[in-house]
Amino acid sequence: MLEVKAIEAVYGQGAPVLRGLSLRVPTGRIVALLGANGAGKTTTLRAIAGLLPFERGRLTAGTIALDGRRVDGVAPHRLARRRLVAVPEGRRLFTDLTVDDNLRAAAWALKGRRARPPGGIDAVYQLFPLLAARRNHRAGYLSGGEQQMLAIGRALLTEPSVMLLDEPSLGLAPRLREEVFTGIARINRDRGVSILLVEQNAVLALDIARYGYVIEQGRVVLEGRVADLKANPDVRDAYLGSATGR
Amino acid sequence: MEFLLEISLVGLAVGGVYGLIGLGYVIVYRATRIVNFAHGNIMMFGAYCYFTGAAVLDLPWWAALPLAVTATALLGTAVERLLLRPLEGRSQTVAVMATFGLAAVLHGLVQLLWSARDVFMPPIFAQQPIVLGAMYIPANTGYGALLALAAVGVFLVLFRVTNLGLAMRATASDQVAASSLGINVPAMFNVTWACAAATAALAGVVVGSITTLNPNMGRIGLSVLAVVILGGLDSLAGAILAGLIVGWLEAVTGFYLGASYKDVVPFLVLLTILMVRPHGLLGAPRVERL
Ligand SMILES: Nc1ncnc2c1ncn2[C@@H]1O[C@H](COP(=O)(O)OP(=O)(O)O)[C@@H](O)[C@H]1O
Ligand SMILES: [Mg+2]
Repeated sequence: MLEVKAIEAVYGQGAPVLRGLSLRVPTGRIVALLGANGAGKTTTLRAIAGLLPFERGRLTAGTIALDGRRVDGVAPHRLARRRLVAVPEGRRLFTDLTVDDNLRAAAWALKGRRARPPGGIDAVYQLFPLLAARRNHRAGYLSGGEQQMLAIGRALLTEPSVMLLDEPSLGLAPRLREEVFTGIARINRDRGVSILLVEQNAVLALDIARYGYVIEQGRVVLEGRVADLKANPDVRDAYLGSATGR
Repeated sequence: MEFLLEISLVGLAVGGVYGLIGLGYVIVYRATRIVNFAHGNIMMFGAYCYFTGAAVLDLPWWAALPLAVTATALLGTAVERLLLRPLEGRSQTVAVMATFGLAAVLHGLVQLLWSARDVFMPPIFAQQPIVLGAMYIPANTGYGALLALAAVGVFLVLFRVTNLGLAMRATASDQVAASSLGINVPAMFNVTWACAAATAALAGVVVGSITTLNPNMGRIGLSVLAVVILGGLDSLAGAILAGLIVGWLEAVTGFYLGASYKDVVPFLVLLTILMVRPHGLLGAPRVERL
């Protein structure tokens, strides 16, 4: 279980971006994090994944715990060893390395620190067959959908128990979007990985999630089971507008 | 014709040594985006370490050389840990300035510990010139180039083939992603600096054998930096290619036009190439604020 309690975060000397945000991701669940552009979704993921220092940001209050142990302030590479992994905004592939080398680098990083060595590169190719056909291509030359699959597959090789995903559907064609989301659902179902899913596309997110949070200006304004969120008139107006029109 | 060939071979040999020096700039730049202005003086430090082992402690070359490489790699480790890691999060310009400071400190330290005068390095290679048909290649230059090329080869294999090299390339490509996946990024920077310093030590021994040893030897590092910019600061192959081109041009213009042209012509060529290709021969286009 990932438990975020009343965190506040700032970038540089700026005003607080997160203002007392709390959320929970129970073990084995998919939880959606929704909100308008600039609400603080990416910042929330960065805070959990220990990535704020890379952006000259920091936590100024609150706690983050993974299975009861505090993880706020822990460096990202140590979080990976505690089985928490982020697929950050913008995918951040090793663009000048091949698909295979992207996966090998991820598999190597934690080798020897796991009882069972990851070695699961083939499992990633099975999950996303499109990648297998591109294994010797440079990651920078992949299509948006393939890049997203590689980013997720690479994170999977750290054998996470919790995965943070930042807008996996961004910029993808509908068919690839489906494929990526099917992959995410399978990772959760087959491997029991808990997932915190940030999405602009609420229709997609609420399709695979169990529980959801809506944030505005750095704090949670609404939370609930997906069925309840879907029925909520505010959510329908703000996030599911296209769905009602379909 | 024979002459041109001989001159060319000597030039390429010197160019190979430039390539080895250039490699050190590139591996640090690729990983950290820092142009290391202390590289020339780290090279000099390595040469003095070899001198100490071989001349002062009277060790055979096969003991003095690994000793010098290890000592210099440790210096590289210390530079990363004690000078650059505390500057983490500050602008790149601050880190580059710090390397200027380091260059000055090393320059002073070497004069303090050893001497400001020229000293001769005990020969590391056999001293008979290399004879190829009718051509003579000076021993130190010829064998020095072979050592340099072997070192370049070893490091390319390290980067291209080993898992550690893969992790270093991944880190150079995207620190945030590498870190998220469990790669210890500061440790990778540390290894990178150690590798760069190790190549510098080898280059220092070769350069010291070809010329003599004095505290100003590090200046060659600055000329090679220009060569590396020609190759593309982020390209290993570019550094080696550019090293060979400049070494060859220096030798040929020096012979046919006279020594005073030797320094001018290669840099005119360099400027011309940079006007056509601002990112160097093989460098990737990227905006750099230095
Ligand atoms: N690297 C950064 N440096 C400074 N401010 C940032 C940075 N990233 C995001 N912000 C600011 O923080 C706020 C929340 O942004 P973000 O977390 O990216 O929102 P979302 O992902 O919900 O669109 C915005 O006002 C944005 O301008
Ligand atoms: Mg965002």
